[in-house]
Amino acid sequence: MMETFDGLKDIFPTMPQACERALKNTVNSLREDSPRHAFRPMRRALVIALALLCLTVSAYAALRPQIIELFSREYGRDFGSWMESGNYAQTHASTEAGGAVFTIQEGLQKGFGLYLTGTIAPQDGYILLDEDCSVEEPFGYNIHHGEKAPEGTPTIAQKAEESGSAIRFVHCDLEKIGVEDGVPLSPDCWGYDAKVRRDGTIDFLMEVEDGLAVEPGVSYTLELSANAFPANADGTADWEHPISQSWSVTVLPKPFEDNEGGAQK
Amino acid sequence: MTKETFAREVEGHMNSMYRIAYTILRNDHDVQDALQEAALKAWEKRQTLRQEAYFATWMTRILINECHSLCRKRKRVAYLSDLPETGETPQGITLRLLIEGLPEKLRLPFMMKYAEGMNAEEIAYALKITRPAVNSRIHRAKETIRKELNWDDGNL
Repeated sequence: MMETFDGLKDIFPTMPQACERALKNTVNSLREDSPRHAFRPMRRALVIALALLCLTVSAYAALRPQIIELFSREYGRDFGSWMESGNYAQTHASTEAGGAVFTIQEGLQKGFGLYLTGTIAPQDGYILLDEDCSVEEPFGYNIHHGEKAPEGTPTIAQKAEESGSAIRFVHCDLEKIGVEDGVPLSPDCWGYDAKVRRDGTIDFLMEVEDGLAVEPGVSYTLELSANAFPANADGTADWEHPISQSWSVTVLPKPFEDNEGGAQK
Repeated sequence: MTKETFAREVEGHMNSMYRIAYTILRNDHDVQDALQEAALKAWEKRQTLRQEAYFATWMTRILINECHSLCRKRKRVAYLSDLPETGETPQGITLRLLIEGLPEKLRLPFMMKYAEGMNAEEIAYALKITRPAVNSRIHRAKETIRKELNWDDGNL
C-alpha cells in the first residue's frame, strides 16, 4: 500500500493533448491591446447618462430582496439576474445557542438549488466569530475577503477583554432537508460562507445544490444545527463540546408576485 | 505583463491548473472550457497582478472561480465511475478513489497542498478562506483517508 502522499499527482490523469492544445491556442489568440480597464476621459453627456443609470440601478437594487443582493456580490450580477425568476420566501425563524441568536432570514429556490441567508447575532456578554476566523483578527472586519481594518482597530481578543465578554466560535450546519412531506435527506453538496458586520453580527449565506435532496417544490423543511464553540482568550476552542441547538425551519418559496409585502419586487 | 510572459507562465503552470480544475469538475470537457475561460479572464485582469512571482496563486484563484461558475451554470454532477483510467497500481487507485470521494471543501485544499505543493497562505488566498480553515480542512481530509486506509499517524 502506498503509505505517503509523495507522488500524489501521478495517480491523477495527466492533461490530455487536446486540452493542452486548446489552452495554448487560447493564449496565442490573446491580443496585447485587449481592454485593461484604463480610465479614459468621457464626454459630459456620457457622464450624465452613466449617473442616471447608476441612480436607476441603485433604486432597483434597493427594491430587490437582500438575498439576491448578497448572492450577486458573491457570484456576480449574472447570478443575481438568474435568481430574480426564482421562488422567494422570508422566514425570520430564530433559535438561540451559547450566547448567539441564529436566524434564517430569506430563502430562494430555483431549479435544483435552494439559497438561504441568515444572521448570527451576539447576546449581551458574548463576542462571536466564524469558525474559520481567529481571535487575533480585527474585530468587525473580513480581512480574508479583502477588507482592511483601520490602524488601531482592536482584535477580537482585545474587544472581548475590554468588554468582559465570552468568546464563541459559531457555525450553522444544515443536517437534512425535506421536500414537501418527503423524508428529510442529508444533502451531499451544500455550501456556507460567513462575513462579520462592523457591530459583530455575522451574516451567512447557505446554498444547497443537490439534486438528490432538493427539487422544485412548494415547501422545504430544513433540519439545522446552531453551534457555538466556547473559546478562551487565546482562541483555543473546545471543538469537541459545542453548545448546540437542533432547529427546524420551514421555507415556503413562492413566485415574487405572490409575496405580498415580502419580496418587495 | 507582456503576452509572451503571460503565455510562458500559463504554460509553466498548465499541468497544475489542469489537476486543480479536474479536482473540481472531474471531466475533461468542462476542464478544457474552464481553463480557456480562466486564461481569457486572467489576461483581461492582468493589471491586478501586482507581482509576477505570485502568478500561480493568482491564476489558481481565477481558475477556481471559473470552475465553480461552470458548476453552477451546468448543474452537472460527476460520479466516481466517470473518472478516466490512469494506469496506476491498485493501491494508487484506492487512494485516488478515496480522495475523489472527499467533499470538495476538503479535497481541493488537500490536493493543492500535496499534489501542487502550495502552502497554507497560497491556498487560503486561492480559496478565499483563512489559513486556520485551510489547515483544518487538510487535517480533516488526512484523518478521513488515514481511517479508511488504516494508516498510523507516522505515515502522514
